[in-house]
Amino acid sequence: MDTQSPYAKKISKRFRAKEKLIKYFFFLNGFVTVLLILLIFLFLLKESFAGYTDFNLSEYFFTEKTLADGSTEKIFEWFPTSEDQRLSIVPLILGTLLTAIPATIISTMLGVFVGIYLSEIAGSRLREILKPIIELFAGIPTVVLGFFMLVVGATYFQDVFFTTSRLNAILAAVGLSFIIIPIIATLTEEALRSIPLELRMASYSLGATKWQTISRVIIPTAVSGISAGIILGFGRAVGETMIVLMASGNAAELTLDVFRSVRTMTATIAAELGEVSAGSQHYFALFFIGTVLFIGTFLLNLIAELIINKMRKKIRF
Amino acid sequence: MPEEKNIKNKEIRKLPASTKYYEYFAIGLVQVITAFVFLILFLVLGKIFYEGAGIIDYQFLTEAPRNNMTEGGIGPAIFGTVSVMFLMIIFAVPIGVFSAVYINEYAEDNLAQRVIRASVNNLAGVPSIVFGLFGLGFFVLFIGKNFDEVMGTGLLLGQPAMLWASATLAVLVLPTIIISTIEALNAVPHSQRAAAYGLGATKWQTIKGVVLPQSRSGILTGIILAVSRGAGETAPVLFLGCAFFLPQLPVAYLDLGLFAVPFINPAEQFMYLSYHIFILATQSSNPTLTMPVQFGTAAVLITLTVLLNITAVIFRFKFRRTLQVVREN
Amino acid sequence: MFILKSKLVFLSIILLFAASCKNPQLHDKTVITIRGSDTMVNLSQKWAEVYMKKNPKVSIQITGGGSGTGIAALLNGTAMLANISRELKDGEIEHARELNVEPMKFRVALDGIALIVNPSNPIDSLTLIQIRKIFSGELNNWMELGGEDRRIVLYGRENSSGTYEYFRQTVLGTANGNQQLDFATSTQVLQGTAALGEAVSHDRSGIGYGGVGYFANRKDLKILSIKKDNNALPISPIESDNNLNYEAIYNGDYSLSRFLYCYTNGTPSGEIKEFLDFILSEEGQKIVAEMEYIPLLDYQNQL
Repeated sequence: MDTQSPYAKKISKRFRAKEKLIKYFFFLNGFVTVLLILLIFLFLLKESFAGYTDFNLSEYFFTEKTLADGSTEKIFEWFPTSEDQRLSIVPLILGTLLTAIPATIISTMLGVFVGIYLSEIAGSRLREILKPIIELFAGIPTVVLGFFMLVVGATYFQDVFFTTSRLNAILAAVGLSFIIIPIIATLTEEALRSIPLELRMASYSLGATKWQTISRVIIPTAVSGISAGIILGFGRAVGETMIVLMASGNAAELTLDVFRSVRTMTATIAAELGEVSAGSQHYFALFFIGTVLFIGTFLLNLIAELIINKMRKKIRF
Repeated sequence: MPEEKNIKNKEIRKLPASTKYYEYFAIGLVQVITAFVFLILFLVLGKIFYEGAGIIDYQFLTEAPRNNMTEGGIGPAIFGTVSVMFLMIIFAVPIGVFSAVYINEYAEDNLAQRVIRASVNNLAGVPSIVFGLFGLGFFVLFIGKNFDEVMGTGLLLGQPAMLWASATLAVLVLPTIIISTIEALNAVPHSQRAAAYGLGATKWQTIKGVVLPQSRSGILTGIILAVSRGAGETAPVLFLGCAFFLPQLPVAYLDLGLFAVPFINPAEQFMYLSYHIFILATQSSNPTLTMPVQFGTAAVLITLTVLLNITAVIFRFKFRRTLQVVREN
Repeated sequence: MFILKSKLVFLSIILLFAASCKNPQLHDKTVITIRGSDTMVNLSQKWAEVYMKKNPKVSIQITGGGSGTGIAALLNGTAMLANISRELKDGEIEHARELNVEPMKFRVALDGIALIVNPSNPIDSLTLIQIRKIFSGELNNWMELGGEDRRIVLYGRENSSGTYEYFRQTVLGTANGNQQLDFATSTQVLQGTAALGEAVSHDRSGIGYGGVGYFANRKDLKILSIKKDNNALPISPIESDNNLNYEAIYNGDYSLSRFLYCYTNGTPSGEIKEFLDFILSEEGQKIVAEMEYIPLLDYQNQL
């Protein structure tokens, strides 16, 4: 980032060699991160496509069953230990979406308001207290939230909503909201505060009220920053394991009803990886799920980053 | 952002009533929703502490579980968590800090630097369960198994063990450490480096003598945050050596002839606080009887992570203050 | 200063490695590692607790995770003893032999699988066929069985669990055309028998299954009686005073009973043999009864 010492040329050769060596040492360390991410990705990829030779990749999505009348039917089921193994990850993807999307909707509705409050309405002293608190909430171990939803949340929830499935997608989504609200709130707050003061001033001087300024000037300007926060929150919801493992009910059903039990991709890996013998098709299938998760969250993070970069450029103009 | 909160439109009283009420309603709604979110968050924490506080005492924190987890404490789980965190720091901190030094101090704005930065960001976004997959497949079944085969150590490292759990968590927290360290290094004023160069110091001498010592508490913040993150994770360690019940602490003795030195045995299984909560809630023989223990363990884990986070906040605050003093002088 | 510290750190890593290679076991202690069935994890823990009190030189480590995990661990050599709540399948034994592992089985206890419902459910007994229809999803309203008009909510275990496998083979079995029936996809999967009991106790339309020992003393659950067929008498795994119905489970009057096994690699010797002997001794079997499983000793005496 900055220039060498102007005396560099006068330093003895031995010294310069040492400096170079040190530089390479640091470079090597920096490169470990790149190596790690590549290693993780390649390893997941290698294991998920290793499979048996007679295994068709399409079986990760559906198996075909011949009916009595000779026609075939596509089956989307996850029965990894059954004699006729079915390894469709479609119900698992559906389960992940059924927990992550409601969680993101709930968290957006609440988190964006908290962000607006922190940035625009709270006094600076109150903000300095509340902001670390909301960040602390983001640090609550997820297993505790899963435990809470399983032991306390489930009963309250059933009393209120009369759901037939005690553990269901929406219960897991509420659990997930606890970690996603802080993410969305913090990123909203950051996005709002990055808007230059001049914009607010201009709005006020035109006679706009505070809320008019917030709703018609500040939020529209920061909308890309806020949406980046929502995307990051969604990515986190997709990747979270313990809450969904404990609260979603884990039924690998092909359903679109958020009040039914669902099984997510992460929970499937968590519940089954300890048990599979390495090298079986079930083992490779779990790595395939891992690869799907990896690529999915990678893309979500990439989109969020692009949006944030674009917004920075726009604000700077 | 400077004091924009003090800006109020004095003209609000002159507005038509509908606009005025709409204004009050909208602002009020934001306040109510915020209050609601904080209320719910505190209610959840309150419930956990209310149910769990009664059981927490010295015995609970030190003793091993007895009688099917209904009695006794969580001593071995705390010990296991601390040991894993210790090993994790040993793995992650050197690589993390050195990487950050490279990114911030050495790398010019070129392809290599951009690739490294992108990797760090991506690593931070990988779901924790994927680290578990990687840890089991790569560390245990690939490195560990082959190590045992080549070295002829029987079955030592080719099985889930503390060593691999800490290594996996180290990969997981690496981005946290790198990002905080970069932030800390970045905060050291340019003038300080210039002064060192002016005195004839080489780049390395400047980093060693000026930049690193000044950013020390900033780096420490990152390490504390990393520990807090690692201690709270469950998914990656699920299949990397967490045990339901261990009668013995994972400690071995190094025989030095005259006396034996105890050390944490990284080839052993271990108990882990977060995993303990998971199995108590799902596998204990009688969930009604173990309920206080469950809440107690949850309260201990939350306290641990919250205390670490608060320490980090304090360190960061101090770090900023110190740098401010440096800048002003 | 900074560099010195990191040097120290590196040194200590090397030391740790060297030490762990040199001395992999605990200081003059014998370690027995046990892995496997969640049904048996509490029982094993109790055995271990008592055994270690008698033999302080032995350290026993227990991990659950399901019978499948136990088999995998025995094959990988990560466990010396595998707790398995069903008999090994032929394929599994073949696979083990390929890996030069010779599984030896030891019956250590008997267990009854109980079907549980919420106490508010008016149904008291079911036939095996009804149970099969319920869990394969063919019947999905309690009204069809003479109960209230509610959807039946199924609770089951993880597919690594021995109870899952046992229940699938015994109750679901093979239907038309040798097709093994699977659980209905709507079955909620819980991570342990405890969580399952907890869920059913709060769910008026729920039904689940698990080791009877877990449920015998719980007032917030109802254990169903099982009829072999329509004309048979309903038999409950517990008696009216909440004690286990030992006799019915021994002699097979109660349809859902099974042995619990410990598997070793080859003929056990040394500490493992001593531990197994302890399990099968009168004292070990007394613990089985304490933990609400069915001890083998009486069973053998009866024969």
